[in-house]
Amino acid sequence: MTLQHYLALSAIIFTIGMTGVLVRRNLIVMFMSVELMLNAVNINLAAFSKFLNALSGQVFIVFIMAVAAAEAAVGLALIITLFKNKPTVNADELNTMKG
Amino acid sequence: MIELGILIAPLVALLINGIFGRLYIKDKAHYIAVPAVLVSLLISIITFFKVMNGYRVDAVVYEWVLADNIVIPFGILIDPLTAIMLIVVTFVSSMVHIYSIGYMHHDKGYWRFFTYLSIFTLSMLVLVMGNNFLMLFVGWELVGLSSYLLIGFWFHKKSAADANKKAFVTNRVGDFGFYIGLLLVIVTFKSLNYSDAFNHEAINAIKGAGFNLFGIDFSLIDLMTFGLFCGAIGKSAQFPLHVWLPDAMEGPTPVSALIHAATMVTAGVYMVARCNPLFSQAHITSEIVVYVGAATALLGATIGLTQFDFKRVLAYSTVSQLGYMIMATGTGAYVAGIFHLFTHAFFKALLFLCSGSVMHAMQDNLDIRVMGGLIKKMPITGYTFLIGCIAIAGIPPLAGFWSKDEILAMAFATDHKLAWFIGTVVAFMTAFYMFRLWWLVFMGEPRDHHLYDHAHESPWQMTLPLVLLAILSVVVGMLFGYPLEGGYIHQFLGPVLTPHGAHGHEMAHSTATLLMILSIVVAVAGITLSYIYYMKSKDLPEKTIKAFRPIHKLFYNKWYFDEIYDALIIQPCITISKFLWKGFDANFIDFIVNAFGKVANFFGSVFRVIQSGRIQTYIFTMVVGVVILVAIFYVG
Repeated sequence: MTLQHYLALSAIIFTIGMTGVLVRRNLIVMFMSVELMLNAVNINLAAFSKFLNALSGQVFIVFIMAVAAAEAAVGLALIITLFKNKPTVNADELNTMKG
Repeated sequence: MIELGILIAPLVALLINGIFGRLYIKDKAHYIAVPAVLVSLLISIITFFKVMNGYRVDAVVYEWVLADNIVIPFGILIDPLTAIMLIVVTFVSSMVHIYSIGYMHHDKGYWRFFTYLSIFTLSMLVLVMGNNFLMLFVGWELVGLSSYLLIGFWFHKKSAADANKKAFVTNRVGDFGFYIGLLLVIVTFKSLNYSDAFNHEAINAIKGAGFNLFGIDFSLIDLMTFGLFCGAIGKSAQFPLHVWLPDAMEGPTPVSALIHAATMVTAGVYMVARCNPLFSQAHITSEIVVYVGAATALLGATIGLTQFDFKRVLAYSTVSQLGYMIMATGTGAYVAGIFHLFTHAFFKALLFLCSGSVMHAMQDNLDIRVMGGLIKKMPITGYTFLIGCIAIAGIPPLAGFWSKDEILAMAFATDHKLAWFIGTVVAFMTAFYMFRLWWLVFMGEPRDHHLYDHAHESPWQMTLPLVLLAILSVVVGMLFGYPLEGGYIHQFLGPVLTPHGAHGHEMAHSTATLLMILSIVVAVAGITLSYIYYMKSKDLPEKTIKAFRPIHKLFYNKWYFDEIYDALIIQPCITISKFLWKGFDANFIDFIVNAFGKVANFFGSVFRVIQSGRIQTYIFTMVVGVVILVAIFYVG
C-alpha cells in the first residue's frame, strides 16, 4: 500500500464526516460526524509520519485524541443541557439565534 | 524638634475622632480634641518665649517634591511672625474648643464638629508654619476646605448648603490669581522656599524685569504680587470678593468666631506680610492693596450700620477690620497690620462668642429688634461684650486702640491721605454700630417679654472663654503697643517685617499726638451718637432713615453686590449653561451619538438575514469559505 491509498481513505472518511455534519439534523449524529473528520485527519498524519519517517506526526495524533476526548465531554454536556431546556436534539428547531 | 508637636497634636485628635467618632466616641469627642489643642497652645507659648530670646528655626522635615532641579521640602519656619500667628491660632482655637463643649452640647454631629475643628486647626497651623510657598498653598486650600465643611455643618438647611458653596466658589476666583502668582514665583526664583524668594539679591536681580502685554508694560514683581494678592482678596474677604463672608455666618457661631473672624480670614494679611520683601518692591500692587483695603473697610462699615441680624453686624465689622489690616500692609506698615490682626483676633472672637451666648439665651433668635435689657439676665456675657465693643471702637487703653491708631498714623505718614480719611470715618462708624448693638441688646427695656423671661446665662464652658478673651482684649494692646509706634511689637516683628531698604516714615511728634487725639475723639463721638440714637431719643433712627432713604436702602441692601453679581455673572452663566444643555448638548452632541446608533442599526438590518439560526447553513458557509481560502492560497 502506498501513501496515496492512505490519503484516499482519509479523504473519503473526511468527506463522509463533512457530509454528515452538513446534511444530518440530529445533533448527536452531527457530533459523531465531527469525530469522523478528526479521525480522517489522524489517518492522514499517521500516513505522512510513516512516509517522511518523522515522529512528529504521531505526536500530533496523541494531541488530537486528547482534544477530541475533551471536546466529546464538553459537547455531550452541552447537548444534555440543551435537551433539558428544550426537549429536542434536532438542529433545525434550535434556531433561537436567528437574527 | 518640639515644634512639630504643634502640628501632631491636632492631627492625632483628628484621626482618632475622625475614625472612631461616629461609632464609639460620639458625645465624648471633646475629651480628645480639647487636650490636643491645649498641647498645641502650650508648645506655642513656649515657642513664643523662646522666639523672644532670639530662637529661630528653618528646618526641613523631609523632602517632599523632587522635580528636576526644583526641591520643595516639607519644612518648618519659626520666626517672630510665625510665633505671633501660632499664639493667635492656638489660643483662639482653644477658647473655641472649650466654648463648643457647651455650645454644641445637644448637637447630633458633636463628634463631627470637633473633628472639623481639628482639621481646621491643623491646616491653619500648616499655613503659618511652612517655610515655603507650597506649604502655604496647601494650608491655604485646606483651611478653605475646613471652612466649607464648617459653614455647611448643618447641611440639611438649604441656606447653609448655599452659603458654603458660595464661600468655596468665591474663594476659587481669588485662588486662581494666587495660583498664577505662585507659578510666577517658581518660574522666577526656581524655588518655592521663602529663603530663596525673599533673598534681596534675587529680588534686585529681577527688579527691572517685566513684559509687555496689550501695549502696557508690566513689571514682573507687580504681576507676581498682584496674583498673590488676588488670593488674599478671596480669603480675607476683600472688595470685590467680600460677599461670601456674611453668608458664612450660617455656620455654628464658634466657627464664625474661630474661622471667619479671628484666624482663617486673616490668612490673606499673614500672606501679604510674609511676602513683604516682594510687596515692598511692587509699587503698583501696593497702591492697589491700600485702596482695596480702604474700600473694603468703608463697605463693611456702611453695611454694618444698617443690619438687624446680630451676627451679620459682626460679620460686616470683620470685613471692615480686615480692610484695615490689608490697608496697613499696603502702606508698608506690616507690623501695624499684623498687630491689628493680633488684637482683632481676641476681641472679635470675644464678640462672636458673646453673640453665640446671646443666641443660646434667645432660642437661636438673632434679630436685635427683639432683644433688650439682657444685661440683667446674662451679666458675664454682657460685660465681656462691652469690653469687646470698647476694644474694637478704639478707646484707650484697650487693645483695638493701639493697633488701629498705628494703621491710621502710618497711612497719614506715607501720604495716603484718602485712605487715612476713610479709615477715620470707618473708625467713627465702627464705634457707632458696635455700641448700637450694645444699647439695643443689653441695655434698655426688653422688647420681647416671652424671650426675655426664658433668657439665662450660659454654662461655665461658654463663659470661661469669654472672660479669658476679655482679659486679653484689655491687656494685649498695652503690653505690645505701648508706646505708640515704638511698642514691643515693633522690636519683636521688626526683624522680619522691615523690608530691605525700607526707610522709616518719621512724623513730627505733635502730628502723631494730634492724630491719636483725633482717633479717640472720633471713637467717643461714635459712641455718644449711638447713645443718643438708641437710648435718648428713640425716634431718631427712623427719622434719619426717612431723611436719607436712598442711601439707607443702598447700605441696607449691601450695596446690591449680590444682585449685581447675580445679574452680571450668575444669570449669564445659567443662560449659557442652559443653551449648552438644551441647545448644544441635546441637538448637536446627542445628534452625533444617535447618528452612530442609526448607522449601526442600518448595517445590522442588512446583515441580519445572513444569521438564519440554522447550524447547517453556518457550517456550509464555513466549508465554502475554507474551500475558497484554500483555492486562493493554491492559486496565489
